[in-house]
Amino acid sequence: MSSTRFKGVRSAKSLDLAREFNLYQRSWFAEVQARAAAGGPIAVVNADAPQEIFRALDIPYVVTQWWSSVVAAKQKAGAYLGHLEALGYPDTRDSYTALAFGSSLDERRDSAPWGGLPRPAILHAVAGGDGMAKLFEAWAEHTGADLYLIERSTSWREDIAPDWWAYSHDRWDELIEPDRLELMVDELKGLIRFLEQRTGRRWDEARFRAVLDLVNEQEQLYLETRDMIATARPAPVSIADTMPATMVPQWHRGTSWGRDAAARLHDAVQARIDDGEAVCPEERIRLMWLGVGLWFNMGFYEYFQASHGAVFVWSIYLGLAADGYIRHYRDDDDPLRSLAARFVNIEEELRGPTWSSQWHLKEALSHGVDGIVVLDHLAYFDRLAFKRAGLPVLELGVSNVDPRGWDDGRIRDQVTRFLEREVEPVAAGRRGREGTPRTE
Amino acid sequence: MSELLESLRRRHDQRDEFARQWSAQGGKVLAYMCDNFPHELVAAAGLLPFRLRGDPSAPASHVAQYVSPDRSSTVAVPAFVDAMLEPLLAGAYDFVDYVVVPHGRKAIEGSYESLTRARAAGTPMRDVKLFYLDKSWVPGAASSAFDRQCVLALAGQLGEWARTPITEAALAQALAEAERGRALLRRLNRLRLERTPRLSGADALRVYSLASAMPRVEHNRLVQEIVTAAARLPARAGPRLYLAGSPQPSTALYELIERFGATVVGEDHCWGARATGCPVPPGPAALERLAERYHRTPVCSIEFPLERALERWRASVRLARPDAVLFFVVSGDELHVWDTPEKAALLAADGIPSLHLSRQGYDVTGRELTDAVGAWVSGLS
Repeated sequence: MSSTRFKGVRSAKSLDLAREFNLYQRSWFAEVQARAAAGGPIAVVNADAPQEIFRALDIPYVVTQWWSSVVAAKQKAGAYLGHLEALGYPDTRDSYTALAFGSSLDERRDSAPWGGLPRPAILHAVAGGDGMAKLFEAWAEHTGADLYLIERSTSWREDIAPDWWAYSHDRWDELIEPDRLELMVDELKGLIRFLEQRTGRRWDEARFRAVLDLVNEQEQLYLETRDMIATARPAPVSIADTMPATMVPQWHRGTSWGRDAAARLHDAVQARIDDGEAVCPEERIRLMWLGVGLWFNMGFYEYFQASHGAVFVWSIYLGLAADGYIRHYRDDDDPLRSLAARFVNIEEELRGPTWSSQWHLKEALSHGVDGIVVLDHLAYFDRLAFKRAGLPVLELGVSNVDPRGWDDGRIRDQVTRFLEREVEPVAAGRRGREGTPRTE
Repeated sequence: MSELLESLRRRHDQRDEFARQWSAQGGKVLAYMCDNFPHELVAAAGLLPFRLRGDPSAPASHVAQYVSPDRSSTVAVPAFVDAMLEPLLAGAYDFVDYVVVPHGRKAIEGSYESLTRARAAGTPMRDVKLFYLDKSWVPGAASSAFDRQCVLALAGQLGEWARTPITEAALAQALAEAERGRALLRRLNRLRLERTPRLSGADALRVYSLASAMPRVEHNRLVQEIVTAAARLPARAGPRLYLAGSPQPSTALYELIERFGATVVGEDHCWGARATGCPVPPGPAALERLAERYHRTPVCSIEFPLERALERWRASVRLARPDAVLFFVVSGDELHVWDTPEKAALLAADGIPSLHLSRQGYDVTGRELTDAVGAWVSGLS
């Protein structure tokens, strides 16, 4: 039976950084609230939208999915989704985004997480998914915000480079079809004009280039951190550390704080490796988490460390930062094209057939992963790729922000069986190959 | 006239036969999904455009075996999408040579992957060639330019498949025939829009459905016959209903409603009167005109901004002058969930009563649904 009153548990962080970043985030959010209270324009934008435009124009923005993660962590998801249901909107679809909309309908600021989401002046999203555009339009109508939607084209070609990540940093114009790039460049220009008119700010290309350079620096540091974690045995940190320590600064990318936060994560991981510190000294099993963060129950990622020596070593947050975000460009390039190149393909990289399967397999192998736990359901080609590589998969089929369908006892049992029956033999083989001691 | 309608119903029951015969005579068949598709290009290339349709109330065993287990739960898939895939996966559509998957709703778009994965997994489907037709739904010049490129890419692919480029003359002829067809369908649609309807919604739906399964010249002949003989049709009494919500590829729901004496005089789904609208804009070059139509056509419920979509919807409802509106949304159809409150508010402002049936199935033979629809329609009478 599913528990409707499940309250998640927090993870015990190995790094102090995540706590520090969270403190910074609270102070930054208070500043955003103050600017909103003073009548300044605040934007709410989706995670897969080109936030660098807002950064370059100095328009404060809150990322929808980050805010939903806060709401979920504060165990307010059920109440906020209930607000939507009361108005006749669905409470079970697109919940990672809808939750933020639902929170906008909460009039009781005193009980809202972090004092509540400021009323946005601008909403911005990529019109992906069947309901996304309409969800944002309904949100705009209820808050009085101006909405700017952009399209993202799709590629289903079957002749993609099998190692697209090798092209994505420097040779992205070979990877992405010119028409798709041009569409997004034109849409970005439209977004800039809209924001200029709406806020009175003026576009400055030199400032934009500085933002892009900071982003590339930040993501390069994530790449190096990702690579360190991939090869370190045992893992110096788990994703309970790296997910928040990557996600929070990711929404500050294009600032020196974001870049420096990435450097601090890099140095902290390096120091733990140098000092021989491990998140689970008795590490026996290395796991990949496929899906967005389980924000209402971050403690889940540590459930099986003590009992099975099982450590979640990989998530998309650091992985995508490393392979999906860096876009170098030359002085004589149009920098907007490099920004477009960051976002045109992001859906394919994460979910496109064979794009994502090739990348997920590469990441699993490079991290010495023994099994994969999937938040939702695995795509066919991912399943095929993992099967051929002999890596077992467990699909949880749950929401990452809505705890109403989370049955903690059932899921613990399910994962335990998975680890003991399917993953442990693979892990034993890997440990044997790597020369790490067997601890049967 | 009744013979003509009987003949229409028979043809509709064997909707695939035209394509089968075309294929048997050596012609190539291109199947597509969604109503916003530049089928004139296909006709100009000498292929038969055939809009996929299946029976969404029937079990889709091949989809269940080869596709459903690997689906993401983040993309809801209504049964009408599975119904389109099922005959392809089962090998029943052995007359189909090519399939174009458009950028429609996510579930439709995902059909490209479904077909690819099912083929890889060993489904008995024929080895059809696939093409993805993208579209930017956002209004504006950038989208227009992108959509034009998409149509040009399709034209290039069709030329390759047909082994000869599409000529301007062939395309102009296909456009003219399609425009004539739309004009005829508008005349046909008036038979149920007039104050006293003469054509049932179910029969109108059959005619629209056949438009995407027959060579256009033959279909135009059929519509012309019905329109010419319409004066002999008896007047239909009873309440006028507008059907809103999910696509209705079969006539089952219409027949259920009309069994209680009502007439479905209008609808907003993609198997209905949308077939009459969105003319090709004028211009000197046929391909450019078609590309612009493809860009402008807002037929899918994905249309935005919401304000414009609601205005268009309200105009469509008002044109039909219904006594009531039935919202019928099937499970997994997410396009209607976010704008339903606004649509309901518009109806309330116009004083039109409505019934909202959500999370429905396509099998409309159940007692509960029959009773609910019957009681509601009888109440309107």
